[in-house]
Amino acid sequence: MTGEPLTLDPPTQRITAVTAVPRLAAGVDLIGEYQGAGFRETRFLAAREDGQVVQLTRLLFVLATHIDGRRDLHDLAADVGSEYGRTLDAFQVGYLIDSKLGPAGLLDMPADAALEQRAGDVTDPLLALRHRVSLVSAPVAWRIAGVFTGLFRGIVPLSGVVALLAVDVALVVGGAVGQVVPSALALVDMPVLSLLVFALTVAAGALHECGHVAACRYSGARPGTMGVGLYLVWPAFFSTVTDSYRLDRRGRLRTDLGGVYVNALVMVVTGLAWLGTGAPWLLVFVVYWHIETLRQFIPSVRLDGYYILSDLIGVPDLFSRLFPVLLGMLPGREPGPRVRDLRPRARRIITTWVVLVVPGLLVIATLFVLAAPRVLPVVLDSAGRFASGTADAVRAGDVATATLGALQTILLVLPWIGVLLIVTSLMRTVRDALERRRERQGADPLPNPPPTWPILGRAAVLLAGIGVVVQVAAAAPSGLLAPAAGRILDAAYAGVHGIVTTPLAPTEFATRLQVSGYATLTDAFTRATSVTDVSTEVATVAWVVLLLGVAAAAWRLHVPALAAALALAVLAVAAPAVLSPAQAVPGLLGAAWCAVGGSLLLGRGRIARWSGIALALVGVVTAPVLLVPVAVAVAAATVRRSPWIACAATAIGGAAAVATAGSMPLAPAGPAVATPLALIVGAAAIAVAAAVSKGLRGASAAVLALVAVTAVPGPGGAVAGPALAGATVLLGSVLITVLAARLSGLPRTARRGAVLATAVAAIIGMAVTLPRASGSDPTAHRALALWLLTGTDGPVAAPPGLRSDLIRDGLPAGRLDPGAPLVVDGAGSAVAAFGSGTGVLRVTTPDDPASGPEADARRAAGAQLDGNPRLDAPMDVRAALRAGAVDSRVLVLLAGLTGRGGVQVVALPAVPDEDPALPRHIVEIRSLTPAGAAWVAAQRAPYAPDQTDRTADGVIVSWRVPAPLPLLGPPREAR
Amino acid sequence: MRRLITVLAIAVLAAFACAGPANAATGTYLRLAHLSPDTPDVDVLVTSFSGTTTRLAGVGYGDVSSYARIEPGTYTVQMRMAGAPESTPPIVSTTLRAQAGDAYTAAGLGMRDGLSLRVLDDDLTPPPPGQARVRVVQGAEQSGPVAVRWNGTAMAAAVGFGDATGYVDVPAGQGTFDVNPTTGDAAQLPVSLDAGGVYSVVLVQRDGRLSGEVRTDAAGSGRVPVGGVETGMGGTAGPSTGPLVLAAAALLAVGCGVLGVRRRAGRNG
Repeated sequence: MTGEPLTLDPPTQRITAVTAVPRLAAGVDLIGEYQGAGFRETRFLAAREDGQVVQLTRLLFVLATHIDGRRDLHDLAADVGSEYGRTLDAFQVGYLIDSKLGPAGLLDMPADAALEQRAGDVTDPLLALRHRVSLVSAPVAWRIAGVFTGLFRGIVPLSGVVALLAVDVALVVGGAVGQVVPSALALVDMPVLSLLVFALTVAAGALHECGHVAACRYSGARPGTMGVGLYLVWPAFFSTVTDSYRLDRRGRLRTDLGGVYVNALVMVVTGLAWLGTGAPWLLVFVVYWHIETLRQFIPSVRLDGYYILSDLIGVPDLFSRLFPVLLGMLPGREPGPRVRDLRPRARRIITTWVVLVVPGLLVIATLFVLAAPRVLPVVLDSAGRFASGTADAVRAGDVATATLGALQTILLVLPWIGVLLIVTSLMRTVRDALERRRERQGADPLPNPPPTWPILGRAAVLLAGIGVVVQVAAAAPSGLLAPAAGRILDAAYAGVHGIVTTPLAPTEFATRLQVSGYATLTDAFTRATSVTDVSTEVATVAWVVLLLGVAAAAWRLHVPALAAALALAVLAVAAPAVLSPAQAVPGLLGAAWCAVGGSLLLGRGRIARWSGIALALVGVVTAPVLLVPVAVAVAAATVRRSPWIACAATAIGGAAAVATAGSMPLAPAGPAVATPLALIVGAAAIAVAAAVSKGLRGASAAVLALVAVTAVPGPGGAVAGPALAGATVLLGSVLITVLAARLSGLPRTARRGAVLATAVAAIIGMAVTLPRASGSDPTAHRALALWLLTGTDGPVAAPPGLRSDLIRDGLPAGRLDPGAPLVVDGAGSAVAAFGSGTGVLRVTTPDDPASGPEADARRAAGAQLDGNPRLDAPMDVRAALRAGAVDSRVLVLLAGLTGRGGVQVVALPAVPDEDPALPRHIVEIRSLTPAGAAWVAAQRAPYAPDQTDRTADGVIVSWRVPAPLPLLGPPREAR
Repeated sequence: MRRLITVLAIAVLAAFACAGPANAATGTYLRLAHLSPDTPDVDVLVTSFSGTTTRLAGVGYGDVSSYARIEPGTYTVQMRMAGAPESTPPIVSTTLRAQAGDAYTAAGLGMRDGLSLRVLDDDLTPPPPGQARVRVVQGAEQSGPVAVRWNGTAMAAAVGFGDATGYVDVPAGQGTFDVNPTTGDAAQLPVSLDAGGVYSVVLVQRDGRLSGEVRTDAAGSGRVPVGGVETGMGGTAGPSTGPLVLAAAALLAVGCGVLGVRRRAGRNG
C-alpha cells in the first residue's frame, strides 16, 4: 500500500559510515506499542542491549522492523512505504537511518562512527540516579524477583494493605503514639539499638527494591540489575525496571507500587513485632518507615511517586517535558513540539506538575545555596567530631559506638558529596551547552579533553588529597596563630565588625579581604568555637582548592590518576616535615588561586584561558612573591612560540626576585614561619631530576625558581612554601609518569607489584605520620575570655589572632593593650592556663608571684596572721598563709577582721585553670558577724572585694587578678 | 595582787604611749601625721596582723603624733572621718611593713579628693658630728612648690604639695629656715638644731598663710623624742621652746614613774 509522498527535513550531513545495507545493533529489542500513552500519536518502543528504551514514531518503528541486514535502502524504502502507507525513497530512508535510528543506538555501526554517534547519545536525564553501582546482575535479580512474585498473586496484595491498616490501628490503640519519643530517646543511650534500626532500614530498603523487580516480573517484564547509588543527596538502592515500558499501564503501575507494597508488608511484620515485644527500636523503625513510605510518593523527584504519575498519564520522563512546558507558558510563545504532541489531559496534568514542582525545586535550591556556606562548615566540623569519636571508640574497643560513629560520619558527608556531584554535573551540562553553541556558530571544535580518570584512580587521588588536607588541618594550632595569620585575622574581624585595628601591610590586604569574605559568607566569626579556627578553616579550604588545582592540572597534562595519587600520597606522608600547619596566610591563598588558574590555563577554550589568567593574577595580588615562579612558568611556556613574551616574563620575574631578596614591598611585613628545609631540598631534587627529561625543563625551571624564592631567608621566602609544595607534587606526578613509561618494559606482574607496594607504603606512611589529636580543649578560648572577664581586672595583652577571639567572646576591646602586664602567651610567670597540648593558652605576668618583695611580704604577713590568736583556720589554710600563697588583699581583709573580734576561715578555694603558684584570691569565711560583714563591705579599692557571695553559714569573698602591686612590699604609698 | 597587775599594765601602756627616750636601733616606731588641708579631723585605726588594734581619734590638719613603739610586722592603717563608725568606708587605707629598728611616719598627704597615706621612712641614724639632719614635708597646698634654705643655704628646691624630701645634713646650731613658696608670702622658721638631731620641717597652711613646724625625729645619738609638737613656728612664730618641751617630757617620764610607785605603795598599804 502506498500513499502520499512523505516529506522529511533534508539531512544536513550524511553519515558515510552507515552501510548501504543497514543492520540492527546486537541485542536490540523492538518492544512494540507504548500502551496507555498520553501522546496524540501512537508511540513505539525499542530497547537497546544496554537496557536503554527508545521511543520511536510509527514510521521509525516500521523501518526498524524491516532492517534485517539483507535489505538495502531501496528495498527498505519500498517495504516500509508499503506498510506505512506513504511513498518513500532510498534517500529518505537513509536520512531516517542517519539522523534518527543511528544516533539512537539501534543500528550496528562501524566503531569510529559509533563512537562519534554515542558521544551525543548518552542520556543525561534531569535529576536522575547517575552515581550508582550495580550489585546484583539481571539474572540474579530475575531469580530474586521470582521469590517474591507470590506476594502479587490473587488477593494477597489487598490482604497486605488491609493488614497494614489493621496493624496501624493496633499500634495507635496500643499506645505507640505516646511511646515514640521515649523510644527515640532510648536509642540515644544505646548505640547498639541505633545500629539495629540502621540494619533494619537497610534490609527494608533492599526489600523495597525486591518488590519492584518482583512486580516487574509478575507483570511480564524482565527486571535488570539492582544496586546502590547516591540519588541527589541521599544514599539509595535502585532496581532497573526499564523493561516495564513494554507492559500495559496496569503492569507498569504494579511495578511502581511494588516497592511501597513490600514496605507495607515490612511495616506489618515489624509493627506486630513491636506489639509483641515492646522493643523501642522496633517502634522507631516502624514510625520511620511510615515516613519513608510516604516520602516515596513525592512526585517532584524520581521517587516512586514520580513514576506512578508518569505511568498514570502515559508520558515517560516527565522531566524532559519540563523546559518545553515552561517555555510554552511564556507570553507570546507557542508550545513546542514536545508539548503539542501530548494529549490535552496529559498536557494539563504535566502543566500542573510543572507549576507545582518548579517553584518548589527553585525554593529548595535557593535556600540551599544561601544556607550551604554556613551549614557546610558546621557539617564538616560535626563529621570531624564523629570521626574523632569513632577513633576514640575504636581505641576503647567499643565496636557498636565505633560502627555507629562511622555510619554517622558517612551519612553526614554523603549528601555533600551528592551536592558536589550535582554541581559537577551542572557545570558539565553548561560546558556542553556552550560547546554546542560554539559549534553551531561555526567555530573550530575544541580539542578533546583528556580521558577521564577511572573511578579507582579518582578515589586514590581523592584519598591522597584528603590525607594532605588532614595532615595540615590537624597540625593547625588550636591555641595561637603565627603572627602574620593573627594580624590578618584580627584585621578581617575588625573589618567585619567595624572595629579599629592595627593597619596591615599592603601585601596582606588581599588575604584579609578573602578571610573577611569567607567569614561573612559562612558566618564563621559567629559560628566558630574560637575565632582563630576561622584561619584554619580558610586555610583548609585553600589547601583543598590548591590540591584540586594541582589534580586538575595533572589530569590536563595526561598524568595517570595513580601517578597523581602517588605524588599526593608522598606529600601527605611527608607533610609533618615539609608543610606548615594550615593558617590563612598570603602564600597559601595565593598558591590556591594560582593552582586553579594554572589548571584552567591548561584547559580548552578562550574562556578557560582567560579565567586562568584572571585567577593567577588574583593569586599574584594575594601573594606578590608568587610573581617570580609565575613569570618563570610563563617564560618557559612561551619561549618557543613568543620569545618577546618570554623575555618580558623573565624581566618581570627577575625584578620580582630582586624585590623578594631585598624584602621589598613584595614580601609581607613581620616575622613568618620559615618554609621547612626538607621541602626546599625535596623540591630541588625533584626539579633537578625532572630537568633530565627534555619536555619537563620548563616546569623544572619554574619549580627551581620557587625553590630559589623560598630559600631566601626572611618573610618573602616563607610565603612561597605552599606554592612550592603544589608545584612539586605536579612536577613529581609528571616525573612518575615519565619514569613509569620507561619501566613499561617490565613484566606486568612486576609493575602491578610495584604499584601495590607503593600504595601500601603510602597508606602505612600516612597512618604513621598522621598527627595525633592534641587533645586540646576546643572551649579553651571561651574559658580564657570568661576568666579574663570575670576573674581579672585591667588591661590584657593578647597576641594577634587572639584579640578578635577575645572581643568576640565579650572582652571589651578597650581592655586589650599591648603594654599590659597581664599577657596571653607572654614570657613571664604563669597565672593561668586554658586548654592543653599544643593548644594551651597561657596567661602570664612579668612578676613572679612566688618570689620578689611582695611574695616575701606575703610570707611575713601570713606568718603573722598564723600566729594571730583571733584567726581560726584549718591547717591547709595556715600552711598557705605561711607559704605566702595567699593574695595580699585576702591577708589585709583577714587582719582587719581579726582586729574586729576574730575570723573563722574555712578554705581558700582555687580557681580552675589558674596556676597553682598564683596566690589564692578567694576566701571562704564562716560565721561572719554583721559588724564584720559591714566592715568588709566598707573596704575601698584595692582592698575591697570584687565579689561577696553568701553561703549557708558564711560568705565567699573573692578578688580579681592580678593583684595591684605592691600592696605589702615597698614602696608603701597607698591610694 | 590584783592591784599589782593593774599597776604593771598601766605602766606598760604608759611606756608604749610615752615611748620614753629609746635607742632607735632597738625599737620600731610609728607616728601619724595629718597633712591634708581640706580634710576634716580623722580617726586613725592601726591594725596589726598579729591582732592588736590602735585607735587615734580626732587627728586634725597639721597634727603630727608622737612616736609609738610598735612590734615589727605588718599593719593596716585606715583613716576615717572623726567619729565615723568602722562600717563606713575609710577615706584612705594603706599597709605598713615595719622592720625592726626602723621608724615611720604615716602621713595623710594631698587634698581630700586625691588623699593618700604615705609611709615615710624616718632616718634616725645620727648625722656626722656637728651636723643635724633635716627633711621637708610639704603639707601646704596653697603655697605650691616651695624652696627651703637653712641659714641661706639651699636645702630643698621645688618641693611640691604632698611631697617629702629626703634627709639632708646641715650645720647644727641656731638658725632660720627660709621657706619661699611659689605663691604667697615667704616664711621664716627660727630654730635651734642640735648636733646629732634629726628633724622634719612640716609645712602647713594656717589661716591662708604658710607656716611651718619643725619636728624632732631623733634627738641626738639616734634617740627617739618623746611627745608631740616640739617646734611650731610660722613666719610670726616665737623662739624655740625645745628646752621647755624636753623638760615637760622629763616631767612626764618622772610622772609615770611616780604613778607606778604610788600605786605600788598604795597596794602595800
